[in-house]
This record gives sequence, C-alpha cells and structure tokens, in this order.
Amino acid sequence: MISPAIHTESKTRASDAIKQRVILACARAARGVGRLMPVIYEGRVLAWVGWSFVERAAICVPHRPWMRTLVDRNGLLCGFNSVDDLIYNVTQNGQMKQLWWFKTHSGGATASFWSHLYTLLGYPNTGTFGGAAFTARQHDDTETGALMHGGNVSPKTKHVISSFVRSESSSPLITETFVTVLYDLVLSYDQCTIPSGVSTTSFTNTLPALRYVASGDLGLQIMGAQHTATLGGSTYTALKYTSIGGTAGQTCPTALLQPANNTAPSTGVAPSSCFGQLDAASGVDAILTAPLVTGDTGVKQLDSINTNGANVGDANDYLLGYQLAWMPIYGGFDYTYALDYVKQIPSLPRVRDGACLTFAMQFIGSGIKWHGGVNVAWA
Amino acid sequence: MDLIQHAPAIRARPKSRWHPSAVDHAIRQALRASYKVPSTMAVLHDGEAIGLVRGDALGVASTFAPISRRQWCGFTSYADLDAEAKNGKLTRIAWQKDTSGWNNSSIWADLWPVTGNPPAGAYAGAANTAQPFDHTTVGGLWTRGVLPSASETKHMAAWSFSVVGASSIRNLIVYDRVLTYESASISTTPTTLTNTLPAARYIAAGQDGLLICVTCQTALGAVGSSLSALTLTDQQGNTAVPLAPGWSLNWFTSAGAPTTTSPSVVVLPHDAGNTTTMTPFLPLPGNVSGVRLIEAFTSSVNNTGTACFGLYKPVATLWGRESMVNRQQLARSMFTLERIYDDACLSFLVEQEMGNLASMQGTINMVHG
Repeated sequence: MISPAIHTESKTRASDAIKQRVILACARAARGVGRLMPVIYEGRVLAWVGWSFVERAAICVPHRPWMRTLVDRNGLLCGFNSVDDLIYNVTQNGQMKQLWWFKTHSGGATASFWSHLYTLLGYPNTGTFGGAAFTARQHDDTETGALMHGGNVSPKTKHVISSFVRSESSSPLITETFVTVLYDLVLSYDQCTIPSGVSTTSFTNTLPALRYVASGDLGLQIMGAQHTATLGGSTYTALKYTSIGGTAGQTCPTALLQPANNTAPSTGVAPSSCFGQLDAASGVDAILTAPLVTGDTGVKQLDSINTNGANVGDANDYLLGYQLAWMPIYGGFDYTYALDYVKQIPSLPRVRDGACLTFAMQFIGSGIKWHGGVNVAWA
Repeated sequence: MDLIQHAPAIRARPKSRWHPSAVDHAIRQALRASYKVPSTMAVLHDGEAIGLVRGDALGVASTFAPISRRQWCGFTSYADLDAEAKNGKLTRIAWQKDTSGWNNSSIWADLWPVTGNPPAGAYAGAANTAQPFDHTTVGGLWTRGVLPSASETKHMAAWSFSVVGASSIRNLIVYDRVLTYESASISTTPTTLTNTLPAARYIAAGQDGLLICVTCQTALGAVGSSLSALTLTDQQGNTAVPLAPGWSLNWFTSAGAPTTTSPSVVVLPHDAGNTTTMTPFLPLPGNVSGVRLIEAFTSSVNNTGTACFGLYKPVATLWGRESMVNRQQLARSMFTLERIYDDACLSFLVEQEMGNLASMQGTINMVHG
C-alpha cells in the first residue's frame, strides 16, 4: 500500500528550491507512516516519502519514471489535480489532442448485433484481422486501423476529456438506440476457422498482451468478431482463457453462439458482427463481451476453444480489448451527442501508451455514416 | 513569436530529469548541435521548452536564451481565464454563410467559396502548386490576427450556430486552411505537385501534420474514376509515402461547380454509387497522423473538371439541430479550448444531410492570454 498521496500547492511554480521545500514538508508529514507515499506537486510525482521504524528516520526516494506504474495500480492516475490544472495543461502546455474519426458502410448489418468498426472504410483507415490463425497478435497505435492519439506520454498519463459521436443515414427508419464503445484493442487471434469434428484447438500465445495485464490491472475482455459468412445458431464453443489472476483453463460459463446466416463482413459494406451470448429465441447478440467465471475481472490470454463440428469452415476473430468509454446515441440517426468526462460524468478514462483505439457499436440500419471526435489531454 | 514555428527543436533526454546539472547538460548539447545552424531552435528538455538556441553560418558563436515564460501560454486556471476575458481579451467572432443555392444529401462540402462573412474565398493559386493561406487571405474568418504580445495564445472558449432552411445540417467542422494545390486534373498521367512554399502551421516537430481534403473547383464530368495513387511526405518527414488505402477512392462524378451560394463539394472519396462522401478527409496509412505535403497523384480514368487538394487542420466541430440556436461553451463543459493560431485561415466544412439550405450563421468566442 502506497496511497494516499500527499498533494501540495504553492503560489509560485516549480523551481528546484520549491521542490525541495515540498519534499521536506512531505517527509515531515510522513513521520510514523510506515509506507511510501508519492509526493505530488504541480501534477507531477516529485518523490516518495515514508518513515523507517528501524532507522527512526524519514525515507525519501527520488521519483523515477518506472515508478509511475506503482501510482497507476493504486488508483492514483495523476491525471489532473483540478479543473484549473486541466485548463493549464491544455492551454499553457498544449497537452491536448482532438482525435477525429469517420466511419461508413454501405451494406446492412444484422439488426441489433454489436459490430466492430475497425474494418470499415473511413478515417482512420480500414484495419484487417489478417494474422496467423489461432495465434496471438499484438495491436498498438502504429497500425492501420488504429485511431492515432498522439503517441506515448509517459510518465504523464493521457485521458479522454470529452467526446462526441454522430450517426447519419439516408434511411429515416433507424429507431434503435445506438451505443458506441471506444475500446483499446490489445490482442487478437485472427481468422480462426472452425475445424471439422468435435475438437479442441489451442491458441498460440508467443506474444503476450502489452496492456492491462500487469499485476493489479483488471485484465482484458473477450470479444468476438465474425471473419466470414456464418451459418450460425448451433455451433457450441467452450472458450477457455487464463484469468488476470493467472488461473489457466477458465471456461466461459455461457455457450458462445454464431450469428445465424450472417453475411461475411466486407470492407465498406458490412462490419464484422460480434458474437457471444446470443439470445437463443431472437438470435440477437445482446452482450458485447463474453461472460467470465465469477470472480474473474478480466483475462490475460485465450487458451483453447472446443467446437462440436457444426458450421465447419466458418471463421472468427477473437479479440481481447479494454473498454474505455461508452458514447450513447439516443433516439436514432442524424443527431450529435457530446459527452464531457470532466464535469458531466467525471471519469477521465485513461488512454495508455500504445493504445490501439477503435470502436464497437450496436445499431440497426444500412448505409450509415458515423462521425465523431475524442478529445484527450495529458499531464 | 511561437516556438512551434522554430522547428526543428533540439530534444535533450538525459536520464535524470530536472536537476540543474541535467538542464545545464541539455543546454550544452543544444549549443553544440546549433553549430553553424543560423536559425532559432527550441531546446526541449523533458518535454518542455527551456530556451532558444541559435548558431551562425560561420560557426563562430552559438547563443542560448532561456525562456522565462512558456511560449505556449494560455491560462493557468478558471480565474486566470476569467481575468483575461475581463481585461478585454475576449473576442466574439460572428460569421454567416449564404448557402441558398445548395441542395444535396449525404455530401460533405467546403464553405470556402460561399459568400457571407467572411466573404467568399477564391481559387487563385497556380495549377498543381502549393499555395499557403494565412489570416490575411480573403475568405478566412477574422480571428484578431497576430496578437500584439508574442507570449499569448488564442483559444476557443465557446461557439454557437444556427441553420435556416428545410435542411438537416447538424454538423460543422471549423478548419484551418493551411495549404492548397488548385486546378488539379483527374488524369491517368501522374501529376507532380510543386512544393516551393511549405505549410506554415501544424507540421513542426511534435505536431500531427495536416489532413487531405479534396474539393470540387470546376464542374466534374460524368466519367467514373478513382484515385489510383497518391504519395505524400508525412508529419515525421518520411517522403514518398503511398496512400494505399486498400479500397477504392472514387471520385464524385458530375459534381457541380461551386458558386457563391453553393459550396464546393468534397469529391474524394465517394461510394461506388456516387451518392455519399465516405469521409471528408482521405484515409492515411498506419502510423501517419498527418502530412506535410502532397508529392504526386494519379487517377484511374481521365475526367473533365478540376479539383482542389487541400491540406486542412480540423479545429473544432459545431453540432446541433436546424431551426434553433445551438451553442456550447468549451471552458466549463466540453473542456477543449482549441487553440487558434495567430495566422490561422479559418473556414468551414459542412455535411448536408438532405433538403434545401438557406443560410447558416454563428459565433465563435475566443479568449487570448
């Protein structure tokens, strides 16, 4: 345990003399506190202070960038000390970027299914799930398909401060509530073709997930994406994973079903529909992420998948990602919805270094265009 | 003066951070690096500008000037922002555009040639030649120009807009018109662009570069064609980078010529059915956030008419509904406070959903400090 942090304020800004005075004051405040606490001044961690009961003296450790992970994992994201601090960093340091995105498709998507926009036309350009079958493939912000967010900012942290999304369609019949999810695509197992017969196929995990899987992180969530046209409906798949806690062979507690008679995703025509916990009666995919064993907050990797011999030849992509923000669109098309993550719904979701930002969406309709923006700032 | 315009910067990355000796070391490195470099460069240490360094052509001496106040200024707090506004540094900019001659659907368009306030902008550049724009160009929205104090920056603090007419325009993009290549033909013969004059904003080290927006300059013929090749220099300075989107970037066929009441439609990329602008900006390759310049392009089939290849920087989106005043303030709700450069040439992109459009108007509130 290293929290809480000691936050300090001063009328003047950072000079070495002031920093030393701040650290000294914090060292005095840490008397009798037998754990290290970060000293945060002007939005930065200057040092770590605590008390040694053996030496009967204060301990002061200079801050190093790698120590930031200690801060992150204990909930001290060190984003912004205050709204004033946010204004300061945005306007004085220019530490803000607007991330524009435009996506479009001309064909239909299965009604009410979740879909991934990663492979659709637009800006950013189309991404592809073209990796080796059943093999872990890492994703980051340098690849085609990822929404670029300005590169790494460590030891600072980057956060979503506001966003907007707009849907447009020439069809006035769209009445379904839309939801757009901004997520960080971390790992994928591409074009996994269902083998014949009852079989178990293991995933190759030479490359590990690079984000959200460190000790103290919540882990990743499992999403499915249809890679080819699917017959659907009857394929039972027992998907096994290694939990964030390190337990291998955990089995998703609910059968994962293929969407029935779904057309193949096609660049610019149809997005790749998700699959997961389908409603057996309606065939509607109601859940974006696969359910996990009770107690598991996330996964590190996929281990294997069991198939029952149905729908041989259908192929899926299995995605491991981390949801950052939900952007609802109420009431239909042709409206713009904006969200402020600072005061409206304080959350400031963090965008990690190397994040491969993309979107999933639940919608009905065809020929829809989406336009949106994600504003990020860092400190 | 703006540090961003003194690229490239010298970036010093010692293992230690803000210890005085580390700063001294960074300055020494910068002075050495500026040997025989007769231009002012920023010295960046730990991500922050700590000074300016300049050499001379003969290599006799290099000088270092510390920065006592950050060159990217702005506001330290709400109170500071309020104080600056009360000190007369709040500017309300009204704009209006007459789009009564436009009736389209699912089409993005550029209001640059449309009359109003600011007045219609012209296509006066030489064919296929880079033409930079700044705050003095007719057609750009007045934004107070170059501030008297070099240590201040301008930021959007609020906006409003309304649309009159049986239309469903609900989205405007305010953009900075940085550079254009005009009178570009749709031809199977590769067109090499002349880049004597560079973009003046957003392409310095550490910046994201510009986005490509292609609009109609003179009416296009009915022949279907697509952009078969385009090479560019990206924001990192890599040259001959191919666009290679992996899908067909179709030209919009039979696009009408813009007039003073009908904006210039975005003609790339369109869907195969020729009904929809897929995106107002061309898709870029992976790991490319923007471009510095366009080098050359080729189309798959010849067509008549000409296009304008623009390098734009989207600054802000204004959204809302028609027949009402839509407004948003950016200092207390959306927290974006987009910066407007002193020499920015602001104009608008708009997506016409359907219906006729009479006019649109609005305001942009800007505070500097």
